[in-house]
Amino acid sequence: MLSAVAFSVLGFVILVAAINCISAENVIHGAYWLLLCAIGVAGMTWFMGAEYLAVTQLLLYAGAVSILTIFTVMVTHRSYESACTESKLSVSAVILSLAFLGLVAYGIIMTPELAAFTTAQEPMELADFGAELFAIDGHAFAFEIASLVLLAALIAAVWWSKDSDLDGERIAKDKAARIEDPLSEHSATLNAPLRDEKKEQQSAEGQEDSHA
Amino acid sequence: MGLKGIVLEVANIATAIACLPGSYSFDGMIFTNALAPVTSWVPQLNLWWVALAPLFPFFGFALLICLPRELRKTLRYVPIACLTMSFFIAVAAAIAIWPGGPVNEAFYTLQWTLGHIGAIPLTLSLAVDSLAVIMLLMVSIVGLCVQIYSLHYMKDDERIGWFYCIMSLFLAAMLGFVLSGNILLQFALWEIMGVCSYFLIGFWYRNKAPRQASQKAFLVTRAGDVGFFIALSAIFVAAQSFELSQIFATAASWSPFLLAVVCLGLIWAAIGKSAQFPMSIWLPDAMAGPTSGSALIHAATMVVAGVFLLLRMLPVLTLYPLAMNIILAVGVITALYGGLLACFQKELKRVLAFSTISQLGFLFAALGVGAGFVAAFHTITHAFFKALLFLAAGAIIAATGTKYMQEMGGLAKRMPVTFASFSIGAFALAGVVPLSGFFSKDEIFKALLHHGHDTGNYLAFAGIAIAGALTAFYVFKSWFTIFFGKPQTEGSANARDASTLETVPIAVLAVLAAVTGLAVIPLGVFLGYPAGWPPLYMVAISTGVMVFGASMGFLAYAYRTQLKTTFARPSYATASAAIAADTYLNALYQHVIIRPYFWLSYALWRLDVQILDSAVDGVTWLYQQFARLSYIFDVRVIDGAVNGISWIYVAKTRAAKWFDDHIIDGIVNGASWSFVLSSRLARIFDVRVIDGFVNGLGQLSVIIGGRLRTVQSGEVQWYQRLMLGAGIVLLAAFVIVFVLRGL
Amino acid sequence: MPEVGLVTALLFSATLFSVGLYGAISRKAAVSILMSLEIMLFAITLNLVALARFVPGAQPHAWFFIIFIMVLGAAEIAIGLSLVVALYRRARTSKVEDLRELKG
Repeated sequence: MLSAVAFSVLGFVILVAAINCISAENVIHGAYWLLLCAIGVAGMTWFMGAEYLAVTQLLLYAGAVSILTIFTVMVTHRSYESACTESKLSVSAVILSLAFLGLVAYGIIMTPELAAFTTAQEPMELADFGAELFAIDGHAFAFEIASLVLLAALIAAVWWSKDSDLDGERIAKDKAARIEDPLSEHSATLNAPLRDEKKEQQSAEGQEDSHA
Repeated sequence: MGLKGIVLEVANIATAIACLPGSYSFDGMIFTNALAPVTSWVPQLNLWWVALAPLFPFFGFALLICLPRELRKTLRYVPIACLTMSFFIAVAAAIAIWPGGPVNEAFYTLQWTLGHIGAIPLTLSLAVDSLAVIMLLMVSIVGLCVQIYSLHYMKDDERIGWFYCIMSLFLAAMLGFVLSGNILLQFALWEIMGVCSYFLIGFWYRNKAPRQASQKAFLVTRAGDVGFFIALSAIFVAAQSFELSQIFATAASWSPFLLAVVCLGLIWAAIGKSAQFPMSIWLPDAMAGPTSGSALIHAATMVVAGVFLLLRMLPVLTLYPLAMNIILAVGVITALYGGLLACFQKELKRVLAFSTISQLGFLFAALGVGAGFVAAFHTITHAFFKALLFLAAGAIIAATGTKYMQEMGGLAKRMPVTFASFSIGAFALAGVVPLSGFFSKDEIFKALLHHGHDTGNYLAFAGIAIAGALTAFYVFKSWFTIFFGKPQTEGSANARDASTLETVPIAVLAVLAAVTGLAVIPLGVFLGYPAGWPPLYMVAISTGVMVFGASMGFLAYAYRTQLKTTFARPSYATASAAIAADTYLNALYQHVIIRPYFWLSYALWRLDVQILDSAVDGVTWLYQQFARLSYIFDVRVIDGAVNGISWIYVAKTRAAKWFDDHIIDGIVNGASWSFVLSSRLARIFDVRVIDGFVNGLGQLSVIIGGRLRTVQSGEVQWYQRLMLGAGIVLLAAFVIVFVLRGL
Repeated sequence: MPEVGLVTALLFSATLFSVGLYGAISRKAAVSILMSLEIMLFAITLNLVALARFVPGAQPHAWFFIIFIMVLGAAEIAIGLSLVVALYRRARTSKVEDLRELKG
C-alpha cells in the first residue's frame, strides 16, 4: 500500500519538517516543526501497514511529547531573545553527519540480502500482537521492565523539575494569603473585560455629549 | 452539445491526460458512480476533478507557509489564483451536474481506504451532490471577493502574507467540509477551521483585545467540538462507519439511545460553531480581528459550518423529534436575542456581529422545522449580503477613522458607491421586496407557518416575526445614522470611496445580494425541492413586518436627540450599556462556569495541602517512630551483646600479648636486623636507577597532558563530536569488514 | 503504481537520522538538542517499521522494539526536559555552550 506517491509526499514533508526543526532560529518554531515531523512519521508508519503503531505514534509524539516540548520552551525561554539562537552551518557537524550517512548508505547498498526483500508481508492482527506482547514466554517481562523504566522516569522528572524553594514556610504563606479570597489573584483578570467595556461605553457617551 | 457537453468533454480530456480513466481504481482509491449516466451522450459522469476545489487553496497555504515573510508578501496573489481555480471548478461542477438532484444523493463519490480498524475499513471520501456544489460556488465567490478586497484593505500590514496564508487554509477547509462525504473528514476540517479562526481573530496579536478574543473564540468553539466528538464516537458505534451514505442508510435502525446521543452531540457542536444562544459570546468579541477576516468568518466559513453540519445530518436529526424541537427553540431564542442586542449597539461592526447571530437563529429555526432547502437558500443569500455589509463596513470605518456609528453621518454623498452597495446589503438583510433576503426570509416564515398548528409552532412563528421586525429596526436605524444627516466628525466629513480594489468586490457582492433571491426557482430545481414564488399573503406579512420595523427605525433616528436625553438617565444608561456589551450572558458564564472552576481548583489545592500532605506527614511520623524503636533495641540489646563478646575477646588478647612480648619478639628482632641491612643496599639502587626512570616518565606525561589539555575545552558539543568521530571510525571499520566478508 | 522497496525506506530513515544527528551535535539550545534526539528516534522507528514490513518473520519483534523505543523516547524526553528546566533554574540558561564546568 505504500505507493511511491505517498512515500515521496510524506518523505518530503518529514525531511522538510526535520530540517526546519533543527535549523529554526526560534526554538518554539522548531517545536512546531517537530510536531509536523511527528505527524508525517505517523502517516508513513500508517502507510507501511502498522496502523496501531501509527496511532500510538500520533498520540505519544504528536500529542504528548510535542506539547511537553512546547511547554518547556515556554517555561525556559520566556523572552523572544532567549528563544532565538543563531543557527550557523557547522562544518564539522556537517562532515560528521554526512560521513555517518555515507557509511550507513554504503552498508545498506552493499548488502545484497536487503534488496532481495521486495514482497510486503501481511500485517499481523492486532489481537495476535497483543497476545504475544503479554504472553509469559513472550515479551511480558520486558514489558514490565519498560513500565518500571517509565515509573522511574516519572519520579526522576518530578524530582528534577521540582521547585527546591517550595518549602513549608512558603506553603504556609501561600495558604494564609489564599484562604481569605481564593479569587483575589484572578479577580482582576476576571472582571477586566467587563470593566473595560463599560469604561469604553461611558467614554464614548461622554464624547457624544461633548459633540452635542 | 451545449455548455454542459463542452465541460464534460474538457473534463474527460483532462482525465485522459491525468491517466485516470478506465479502471476507476488505483492505489487504494475507489471511484464509484452513484447515479446512472444522466444523458446518453455522456458515457460516465467522472467528476474526480471536483476534489481539486479544496486542494488548490490548500496548495496556496502549503506554499506560503514554507516561505519567509517577505516572499510570502510578494506571493500573496497565489492564493487568489488558487481560489479562482476553485471557483472555475465549482462552476464547471454545477454545469456538469445540471439540472441537479436531491440533497445527499451523490453524483459521484471519491473514496479512499486508509486502513482497517479491526475488520472495519476506515475510509475518507468526497461526495459531489447538489448541496455541495452550490456551497462550493458560494464559498469560492465570497472568498474570492474577500481576498481581492484584502489586497488593498490590508496593504499596509507587514504580515499580509500570513493573512493570505491563513485565509487560504480556512477556505480550503471549508471547501473540503462542504464536499466531504465522510463525517471523520468533516470533523478534521471543522477543527482546522477552528484553528484558522483563532489565527484570524488574533491576527493583531500584539494588542490585548484581539488576543483575548481569539482565545475566547477558540475555547468556546472547542467546548462545542466536544459535542461533535461524542457524536462522532456514537456514530461509529451505531453505523460501524464514518461514511455519510452508510450513516443515512442505517440511521433508522439505530438504538434510540445512540440516536439521541448523536443528535444532541451534533446540535451541541453546531451551537458552539454557529454562535447560537448560550454559546454566542465569542462572536461579538471576534470583531477584534481584521474586518475582511470577520467577513470570511461570518459569511462563508466558520459560522456557516455549524449550520451546514446540521443541514447535512438532517436525515438523521428528523428521526428524533426532540432534537428538531431543540433546534427550533434555540433558533428562535437566538434570533430574538441577537436582534434585540443589535439594536443597542453603538459600533457598526458589533451591529453586524449580533445581526449574524440573529440570522443564524433564523437558519436554525428553519432547520428545526426540517426545511433543508430553505436553510440552504438563506445560508447563501445571507453569505452574500453579510459579506457585502462587512466589506462595506470595513471601507466605511477605514474612511471615517471611527467605529462608532454616531460619529459618522452624511456619508451618502461622500461615499456613493459604498452607499449604494451597503444599501442593497442592508435592504436585503431587512427583507425589502425584490432583494435576496426578502425571498429567503419569506421561505423561512412560510416553512414555520406551515409546519404545524400547535401553540409551540405559533410561538416560534411569532418569535421569528418579531425578530424580523427587530432586524428591520436596527438595519434602518444604523443606515440612517451612517449615511444621512450631518457628518459628526472631521474624519466623516472627509470620507471618500476607497480604491477600486475595494469597491469592485463590494459591488460584485451587491449584485449577487440583489439578484440571488430571484433565482429561487432554479435553485429549488437544482437542490431537488419544489420552490415557488412566495404567495401573496406571505409577501403581505413579511413586508408588513419589515415596514413596521423600518418605520420604528426611522423614528428612532428622527428622534435620536430626545432618545439620547431619555437614555442619559443613569438607570437607562447603565442598563443599555450592559445590554450592548452583552454583560449578562458573560456574567452568567462567569458565575456558572468560571467561578465554580476556580472554587473547584481551590478545593483541590486545599485537599492536596491539608489532606494529602498530612497523610504524607503521618507516614513520615510512623517511620520516625519505627526508627526510634529500632534505635532503642540497638542500644539496649545488641550493644549489650556486643559488649559481652568484646570483654571475652579482650581477656583472650591479654594472654596472647604476654606470649607475643616474650617469645615472638625475639625471633622477629633478629629477622628485622637482617632486613634493614638488605634494604639499605636496595635504597641505593632505587634512588639512582628507578627514580631516574620514573621522573623521566612523569615529565613526559606532563608534556603530553599539557598538549592534550586543549582537547578538554569543557564544551559539551566538542565532546559529542569527538565521541561521534570515534564512533564513525568504528562504524567504518565494521562496515568495511562486513562488506568485504559479504563480497 | 510502484511499491517502495526496503532499501529506499532504509536509506530514507538513514537520511532522517543524519539530519537529527547534525542537529544534536550542532545546536546550542538544550531543547533543540532534545528535539534532534526525537528526530533520530523517529528515524529508528521508521527503519524498524520498514524492516517489519519486508523481512519475513520480523514483524512481532520489530513491533515490540518500536513500542519499547516509544517508551524509552517518552522517558528520555520527560527526564531531558525536566533537566532543562532544572538547568534553567540553577544556571539561568538553557544553552549548552554556557556550561563549561568540565573544562580541564
